[in-house]
Amino acid sequence: MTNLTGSAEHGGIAALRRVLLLNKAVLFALILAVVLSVASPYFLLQQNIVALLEQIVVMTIVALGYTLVLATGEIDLSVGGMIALIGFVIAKLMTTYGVPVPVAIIAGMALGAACGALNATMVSRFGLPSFIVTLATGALFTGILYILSNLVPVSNLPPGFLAISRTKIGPIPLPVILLVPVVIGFYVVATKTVFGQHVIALGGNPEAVRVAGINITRLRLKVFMIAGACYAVAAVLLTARSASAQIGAGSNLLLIVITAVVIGGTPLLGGKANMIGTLFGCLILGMISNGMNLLGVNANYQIAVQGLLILFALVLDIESTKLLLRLDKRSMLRRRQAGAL
Amino acid sequence: MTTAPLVELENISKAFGGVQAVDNVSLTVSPGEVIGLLGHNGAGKSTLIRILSGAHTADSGRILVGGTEATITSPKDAKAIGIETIYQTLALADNLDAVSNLFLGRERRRFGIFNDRRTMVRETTEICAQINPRFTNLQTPVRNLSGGQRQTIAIARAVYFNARVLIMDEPTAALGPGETAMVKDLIQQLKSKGVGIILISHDIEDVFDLADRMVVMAGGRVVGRLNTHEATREQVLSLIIMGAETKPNPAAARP
Repeated sequence: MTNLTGSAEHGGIAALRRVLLLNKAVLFALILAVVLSVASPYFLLQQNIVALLEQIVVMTIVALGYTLVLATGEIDLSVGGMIALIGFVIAKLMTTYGVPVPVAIIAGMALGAACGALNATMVSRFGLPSFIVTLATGALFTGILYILSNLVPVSNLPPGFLAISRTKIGPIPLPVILLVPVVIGFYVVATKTVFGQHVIALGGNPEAVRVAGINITRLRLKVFMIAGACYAVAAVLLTARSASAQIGAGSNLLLIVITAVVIGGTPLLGGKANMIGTLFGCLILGMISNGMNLLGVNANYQIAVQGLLILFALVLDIESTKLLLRLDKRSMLRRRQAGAL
Repeated sequence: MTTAPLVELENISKAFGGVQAVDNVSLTVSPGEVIGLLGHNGAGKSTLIRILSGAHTADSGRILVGGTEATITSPKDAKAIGIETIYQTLALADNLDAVSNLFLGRERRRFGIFNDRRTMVRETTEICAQINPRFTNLQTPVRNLSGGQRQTIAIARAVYFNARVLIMDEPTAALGPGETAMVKDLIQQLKSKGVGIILISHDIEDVFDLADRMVVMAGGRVVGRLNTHEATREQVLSLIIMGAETKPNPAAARP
């Protein structure tokens, strides 16, 4: 009998460890928030929290789309090029061609989806690794941007467009409010829909998905198109915030986004899509940058810290996956010994 | 007693590059019949099977299902007409649980796009209870399961979706003795329900135990068709190895 309670307690601890490992981003974010609120009296000020959330909106929207891409076991290195190109096209449509704001935004999202479709098609049709395809298309998008723009940023954007980032509802900027339904939407897609299930299965075993009669080409196409549309939304927000379409817009996003997604518990090799984790991964990165600013850390150090953090996140990803496997195996063994087979 | 065949493969050929993987092969499966498909690696068994299950398309030949010609160009087509396949690799997504794997590609839906998880869990529980009552951890990733449990999922998939023809590629290759017995028992059950089964196996004893007829392939061709109760091990082995029957040594064949 003592043995029984002992093993039940043990099971409880193992279950707790499991929950913590699966939600390490949430835990890490909480710890970071506590540390920062102790270290700096400004951290918990309403203005600072709002500024922090505003900072992470663009990153998070990109990261949510990116989570789907990583979940299928693919990678997308064309993010930066695509965002800058779409931002430029939207700005140019509105300023030079007088296209109404909503139409320009929809055109931008269509362009993002089209760029994503190009990526997916190259991967599916020619069986190329997405790593190589998106490295090349990223350069292509950047090159097209250079040709079209001649490296001149576009400003004098219409006030209706700039209002996207300047409108506030109470103390909260519009983009932060927009983020809420987007996060919920991606969470629902990843966890509740048949599409989300297929995405995760594809990351787990493409051959099983193929012989199950699922059209992988179409599935991959949808994933890359959704990601492209997300990048377009990010391009809109970036352009509105800086009141101009910058040539280098979004060029720093790739690494940040991959880090956030992986910290959030979506493995680099796919097979899982943790959208809530991605949100918290973005919060963590936002808090680190915000915290370094509050504590007066030299900006030159911030990039090095980011690099270290990425390495840390990758190691954590691999180690926690191993640990999870071990825990699962151990609990399986225990069940088998208990006669449940 | 003759029953109309469930499936007839007629003069199927398939080449990869210059290699004739399957060369003018015909095969029929009747209800409640177990066909043992034998042959060396590279004999063309897997290619033939993959043509029937929609993973490859034949260069020539036709497939009749219930007497009418069927076009099978994808795994989906094959499943739609009741041809289910259990691959040697089992084709399970290791990161998903038994429920998700059982319904992969044929999910029960709500409002067209949502997983009807509750229904799928209930039905997986029911079907697995019939097949292997000791298998209850339906909601852990299948990478943590034993070979027999994984096989249970693959078989449950075929049973749940009412397979009329079931193709089993090396179903017992990765299993222990107890699990092998379970799979054999399942094959008998399915057979008694009128399912036609094509069994590919390296284990000649399994085939002698289970099959009604045996078809031996070598070099992409059928080199022998035998009724199990008339065949000897030596005869079958020599067909597999040499692609022809050696003159049976009367002393050895009839002790």
